[in-house]
Amino acid sequence: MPSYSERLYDWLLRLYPTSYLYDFGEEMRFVFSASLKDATGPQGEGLLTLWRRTLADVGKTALREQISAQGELLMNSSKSLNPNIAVAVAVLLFVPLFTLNLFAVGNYPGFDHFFRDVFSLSAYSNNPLGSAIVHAAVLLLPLGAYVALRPVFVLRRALPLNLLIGILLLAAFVVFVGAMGQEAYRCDVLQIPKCD
Amino acid sequence: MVEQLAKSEFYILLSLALKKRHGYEIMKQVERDSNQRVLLGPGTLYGSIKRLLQVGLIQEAPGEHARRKYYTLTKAGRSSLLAEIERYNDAVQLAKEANLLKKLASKLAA
Repeated sequence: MPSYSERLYDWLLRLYPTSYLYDFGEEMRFVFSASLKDATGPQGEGLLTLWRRTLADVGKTALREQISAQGELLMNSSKSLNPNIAVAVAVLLFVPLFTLNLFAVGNYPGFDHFFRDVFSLSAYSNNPLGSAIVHAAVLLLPLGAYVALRPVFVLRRALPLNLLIGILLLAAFVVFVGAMGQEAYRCDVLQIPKCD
Repeated sequence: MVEQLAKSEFYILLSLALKKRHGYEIMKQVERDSNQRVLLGPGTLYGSIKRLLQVGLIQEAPGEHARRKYYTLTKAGRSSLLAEIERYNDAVQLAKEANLLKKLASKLAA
């Protein structure tokens, strides 16, 4: 029958990633149980000292292992997405987006007004080619979000880092496209003089 | 070859220099070898073991107790440990030749 300390340590082990526990969970339990026997023995350091050290150890290493596991998952997920397919999709999407944007920048002055004014990209504002590339890159943000969110759907687990990156990329896409659309509407449809 | 060994990793390699051990034995040996200066909790111990396995300095080995995982040095592990000990040895030699211990101690006392 496990002691209270062993049960509490079992509970704390849940803070570590599942893959890490699969490899080392049982061993860690064994090491803790043996340390517990030592600490509560005749010449032991005492239960309080053991728990002070154990809590510090768990706090430091559980966070490190979680970050490490998230990094490995992100690496594996990007590896599992066949790079040839990802590049092919990006190129296939980029070409029509770039052409469309080049046409829009050339014909609708307000279209690149957002980047020109908001980011003060003067070098790029006089360059329709650069403008079209930036716009097309913005429109590719959902592809990045797909790559980040894919493992969440494949593994059916909430992976905080993947979710964060995916949501950030989607949010950036919505903000950029919304702002660009609004500028184009104000300048080209409403004909606000400031846009000229 | 690993570029830099953490203190805990160095002592883990040192504990495996002469024989294979399981996690708890490693932990106790590290405490003895470091004169209680390096106290490894289970998290730090297995985090270091995981890294040493990943970089190929140690490997799992069969042991007396089937339920325990035993670890032993690989060839790269022995070579890395030797290089690290030689580096420490060079530093100690240098300190002795320059009488650094006395000089540093007197400066600290001043």
